[in-house]
Amino acid sequence: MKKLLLVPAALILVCILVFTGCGGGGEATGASGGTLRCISGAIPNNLGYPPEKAPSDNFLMLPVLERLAEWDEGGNMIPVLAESWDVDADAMTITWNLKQSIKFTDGSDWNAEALRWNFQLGIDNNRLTDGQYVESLEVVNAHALKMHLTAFSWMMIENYGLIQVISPTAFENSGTTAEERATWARANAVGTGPFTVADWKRDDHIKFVKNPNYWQEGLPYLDAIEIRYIPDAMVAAATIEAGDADMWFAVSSVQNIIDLQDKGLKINWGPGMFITLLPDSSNPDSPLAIKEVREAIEYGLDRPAIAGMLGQGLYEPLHQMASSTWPGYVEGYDPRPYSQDMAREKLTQAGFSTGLTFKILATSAGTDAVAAIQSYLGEVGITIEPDIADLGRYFGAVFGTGWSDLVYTASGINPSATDLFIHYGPSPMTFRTGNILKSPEYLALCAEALDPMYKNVMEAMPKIKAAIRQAGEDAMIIPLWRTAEASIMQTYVHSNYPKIHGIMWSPEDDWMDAH
Amino acid sequence: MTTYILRRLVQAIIILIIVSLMVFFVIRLLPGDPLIIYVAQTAQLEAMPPEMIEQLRVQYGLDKPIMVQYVNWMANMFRGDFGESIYYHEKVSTLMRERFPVTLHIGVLSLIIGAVLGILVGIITAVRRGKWLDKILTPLTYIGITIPVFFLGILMIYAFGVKLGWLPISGYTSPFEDFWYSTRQLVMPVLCMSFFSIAANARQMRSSMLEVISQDYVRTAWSKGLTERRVIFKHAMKNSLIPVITLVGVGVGILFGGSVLVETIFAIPGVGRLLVSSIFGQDYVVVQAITLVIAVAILVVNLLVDISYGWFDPRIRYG
Repeated sequence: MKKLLLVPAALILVCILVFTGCGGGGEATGASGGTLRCISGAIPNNLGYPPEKAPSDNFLMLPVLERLAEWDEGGNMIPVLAESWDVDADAMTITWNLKQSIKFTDGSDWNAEALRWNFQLGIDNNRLTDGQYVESLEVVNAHALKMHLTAFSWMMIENYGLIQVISPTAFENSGTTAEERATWARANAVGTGPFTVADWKRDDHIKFVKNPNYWQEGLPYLDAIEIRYIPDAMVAAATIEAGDADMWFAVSSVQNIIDLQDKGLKINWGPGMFITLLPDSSNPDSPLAIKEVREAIEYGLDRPAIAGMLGQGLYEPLHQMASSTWPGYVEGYDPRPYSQDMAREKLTQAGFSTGLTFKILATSAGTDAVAAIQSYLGEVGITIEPDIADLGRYFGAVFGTGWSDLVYTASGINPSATDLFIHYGPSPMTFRTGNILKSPEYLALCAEALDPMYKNVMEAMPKIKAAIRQAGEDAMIIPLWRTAEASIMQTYVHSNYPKIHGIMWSPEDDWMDAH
Repeated sequence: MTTYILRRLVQAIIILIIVSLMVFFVIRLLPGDPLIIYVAQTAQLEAMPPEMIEQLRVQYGLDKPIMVQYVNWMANMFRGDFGESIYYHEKVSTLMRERFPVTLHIGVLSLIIGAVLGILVGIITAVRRGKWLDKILTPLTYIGITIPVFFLGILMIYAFGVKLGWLPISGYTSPFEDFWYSTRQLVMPVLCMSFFSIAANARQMRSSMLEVISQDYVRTAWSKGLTERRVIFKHAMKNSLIPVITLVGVGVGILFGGSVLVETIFAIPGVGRLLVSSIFGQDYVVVQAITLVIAVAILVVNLLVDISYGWFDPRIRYG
C-alpha cells in the first residue's frame, strides 16, 4: 500500500518541478528593440484579402498594411503613403500624389498603378466606401493617380484615404484562379509597413517582425510585436497583471480599467462609444412619431447620474448628438436637461398623460443600462419592457428588418465628423433601416455640409454643428452617454493607441523602456 | 459478439441521424439571419447592398428550402465535405483539423489523469476506510464533484498565475514546438478539466471497491496470506473497475462539454471555443459539423466501453 501512495506523491513532485521550473517571462529590452507582447479581444482572421476584412483585421494589420492617409488628433487627414492630394471640385476629381521610393516587402514598387489596383479591388467587391461615385481611375504618372468622380464631398478624402494597400504583385502571383489568390491572401499580407508577418495562427496569435527596409528612416523601434487573442476580459486582466503581457488593446470594461490603473498600470484613453436610444419614429402608428414623446423620454433620464453609476465616473453623459471629444460638438447645447416635471408635461402635451409602454431592444451588454432607464422612465409614467436579444436577433433588427419602439445602440466616435453621416446621415451606412424619422430641415443641413465647396471637414464644420443642433431640436435620437475605452499597458510601454480612434495605431512609433 | 457489435453500429447510425436532424433544425430555430450577423460583425454593412447579401445567401445555399439544405448537407458529409464556414471563409474540415488536436491533447491528458488518479484515490479511500487518508480525500471528492469548472479555473489563474506567478495564465503551445512551456501551459486547463472526473471516478471506485473487498473470495485471498498489493490489484481491482469504466466512457462527453468552458477561460484555440464562437455567429455549417463529429466520438468510445466489459468480467455475455 505504501508503494501505492508513492504514485500520487511522484505526480505531485513532477507537478512542483513543472510549476517552478522553466520560468518564462518577458525579455529585457532597451528603449529600442524587444518584443511588445500584446493581448487583444480580437485577432485578425483575414490578413490580406480586403474584400472580406473586418475592423479588427484592419487596425491590427496596420503593422503590415499602411494607409494612404489617416486622421491626426484633430480629425484632419494627414498623408501616410500619399505625399499630398489635390481636389478639383468643379471637375470632380481627386489626384493622389504618392510618396516615392517606397517598396512593398516583396520588392515591388508602391506606385500609382498599385494604388489603382487596390482601389479597383475595393470597387469591384463593393468594399470601397463611396466607391459608387468613382467613374474612372487614371494613372497620371508613376506617382500620381487621378480619381474621376460623379460627385464630390470632403468625406471622400477620408473614405478613400483610409484604404490599406496590399501588394498587387504578391496577390496576382499567389495563384492561378481568383479563389486560390483569395485563399492565399486571407492567410498572407504583403504591404509597405514597418513589420512583416512572421507567424499567425487563427484565433490564437499573430507575430510581426521588424521590416529592415522600412521606408521611414530609423523606424520601427521595436524588433517584434506579438498579439495574443484572449477574448475573456477577466483572463486578459490577469495576464497583464501577472506580467505575461505588455499591453492590452481596446478595453471597455470599466472595472478592469480602474483595477489595473490602481495597480500602477498605464492607461491610454480612447474616444469610447456613443450610446443612444433610437426611436421607431418613422412609424406613424408609434407614439414615438410624436416629438413630445421623444422629448419626454429625454427629459425623464438623469443621464449624468446613470452615466456616473454605470461608468464609475468614466462615462461622459451626452446631451446632444455629439460628445465633447467630437469636433461637431455644439458648446453648451443641452436642450433637455433632467426634469421629471417637464417629462410629464410633454407626455400630457402628447396626449399620454396616463402613461405609455415601450420595449427597448438591447443585447445582454446593455442590461444594466436598460434597467436604469426603466427605473427612471417608470417614475414619469413610461413603462419600459426590456427586450434582451441574442446577437442574431439584435443585429437582424438593427441592421436588417428594423425594430419597434426603442433600441439601445453603440456606435463609434471618429476624430473627424464623418460619424454624423455614417450613422445618422441621409443615407447612413449603419442604422439604415429607415426607422428613425429625419426632418427635412435636418436632411437639408446634412446635404449642405457635404457641398463640394467644402474641401475638408473643418470648412464644413459650421454646417455640421447646425445639423447636430437641428437633430437636438427635433429630438431625433435620445443621446445617452459616451463609454470609456482604453488600452492598458505596463509603465515601460509607450504607444499612442487608441488615443485618436480605435482604428488608428502607428506601431512604428511604439517603444519600450528597458525593463 | 459480432452480432452485438453490428447491432450497436446500426443503433449508432440511427442516433447519428437523429443528432444530425436535431442540430440542423434546432440551430435554424434561433432568431436572426447568419448573413446579417456576419456582415454586421465584420462591419461590411456599410458596403453590402441587399443584393450582395442575397448573392451570399445563394453562395452558401441558404436560399434553398430547408429540407433541400439538409439533404445537401448530409450528402456532402458522406462525401467528406463538411462545407465552408460563413464567418471564417474557410473549409470546416480545415478548421477542425486545426482545432481538434488541441482539444484532444487536453482531453486525453485529462481523461488519463482523471481515470488514473480517480481509481487510485478510490482504492486508497476504500482500503483505508475511516483512516486519516480517507477522511481527507473523501471530502475533497465532494468538492471536486460540485465545484464549477469556470470557478475552479478562475481560482487557479488567480493563485498560480497572478499571485504565485508559477504558471502561464493562458494560451496553447504545441509540445512539438516547446515541450516544457507547453506542459506548464497545460497544467491548469488539464487539472481544471480532470478535477470532476478524478472526483467522480474516485467516488465510484471507492464504493465499488468496498463492495468487492467485502466478498468471500477476497476474504479467502487475505486468509491465504497474500500481500495487500496482490489482493487489491490481482483480485479486487479488476472486478471493481466495471462501473468506473462506464464512467470513463461518459467522461468523454463531459470532456467535450468541459472543453467549451476550459478553452474559453484559458484562451485555448480548440474545438470548444470554435463551437462557442460559431454558435454566437450562427455559423450553421461549423456547429453542425463539430456536433456531429463529437457525437461520433462519444458513440465510438461508448461502444468500446461496452465491448471492454467482456474483458474485465468474462461472465458478461453479449446477447
